[in-house]
Amino acid sequence: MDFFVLEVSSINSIKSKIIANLIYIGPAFKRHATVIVPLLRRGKVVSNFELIIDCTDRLLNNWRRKPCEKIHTDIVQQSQNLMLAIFGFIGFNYDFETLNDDENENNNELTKELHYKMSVFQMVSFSPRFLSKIYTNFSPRYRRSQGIINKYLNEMTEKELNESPESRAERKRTCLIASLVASLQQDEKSEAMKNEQDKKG
Amino acid sequence: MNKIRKVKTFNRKIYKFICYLLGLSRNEIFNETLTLLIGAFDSTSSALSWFIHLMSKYPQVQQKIKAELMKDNDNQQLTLDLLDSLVYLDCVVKEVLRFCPPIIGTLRTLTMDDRLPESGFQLREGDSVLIAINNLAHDPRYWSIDPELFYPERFLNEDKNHHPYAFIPFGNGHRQCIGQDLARFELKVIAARLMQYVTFGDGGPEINAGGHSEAIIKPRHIGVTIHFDR
Repeated sequence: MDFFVLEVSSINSIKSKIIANLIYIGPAFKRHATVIVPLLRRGKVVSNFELIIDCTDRLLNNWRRKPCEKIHTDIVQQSQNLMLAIFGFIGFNYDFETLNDDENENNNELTKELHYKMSVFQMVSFSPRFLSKIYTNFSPRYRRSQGIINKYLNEMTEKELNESPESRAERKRTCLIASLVASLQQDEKSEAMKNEQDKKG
Repeated sequence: MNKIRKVKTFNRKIYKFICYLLGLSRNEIFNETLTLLIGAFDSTSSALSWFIHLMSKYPQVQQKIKAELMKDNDNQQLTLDLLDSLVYLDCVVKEVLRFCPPIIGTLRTLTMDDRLPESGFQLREGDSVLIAINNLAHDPRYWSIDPELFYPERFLNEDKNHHPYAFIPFGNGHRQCIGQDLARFELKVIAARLMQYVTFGDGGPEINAGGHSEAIIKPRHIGVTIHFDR
């Protein structure tokens, strides 16, 4: 994760969208950083020590069940599964089910779509801009994936909004999704219509 | 005119202060969530894959990590205090990130015209410059010990005081990676836990050849054996 500085005028393709998220400029960068940065400092992340160990132990248990002479060629995928599980719990209190006993039987829809989204990102990263735009605007698979991801993110947000105010106030100091939802603008529709320079936050 | 300019400047400062304090729209939250998810798991999982690959290639490094973990810790409990005391493992994590940084580079945009000092190449305000992280980490001008060697001890001795910009796996400056503390912590905890239980073995020259792939730099060919020590 890195915040780059670039001028982005029109944002349509997946590549532009992801890059734009990485490169909020000026005041937008500050608004986003204010919400997220405090939760990712070392003082906060060490509280997840036990959780990281638990997830790693689950991966070790999966390996233990395999024959010892096996050559593991899916280490990249195994590492992704572990990291996704850890970050799901730390950031969003969400189980991506990537460390299940039978790792080949992950039916979690969001996990599948995130992997698909990553593969598209890898594909369009080195493609000409017009090709990535065509793909992301006209591919039914991509548009369906976007819809599914939005559905889950919406559910996470709604779940957080349904928590009691006390619980939300407490958790926003430790949980990323709680902090993000706590920063939700009150009148976001009218805010969305404004230019970045005129947004209240 | 001067007064109007002063008022405008004041308004801009007030606006920036308000922006600094207030929150995000729902759409921004969605984008932020997705970006954090993808950014968090893809780059850190790449670093973990490289760690496993390099451990399989350098058994003596694995043995040194295990020895450090066992020292004064017969019951092999992993605690925060023990983790903080693992100096050699810190060096290994750094060396993995130096040897195979998961990110190709970081971009910066010029805020004014400039010229490169040696080549004289002219850069204009608004140009984006790619700072190639891997090239810096492997440039022999900035490292005392051959940068093409995987040698974690360099961070204890000869290259302890390396050039600050020769090793920037998370970028640097005002806009360096916001998730670096979490990434470093995750990598160290996972590496320590794995080394407490398993030894990685080389699966063979072809199947475990390494190599780079895709936008996030991951091993293209990785094949390791996993032997449980206990």
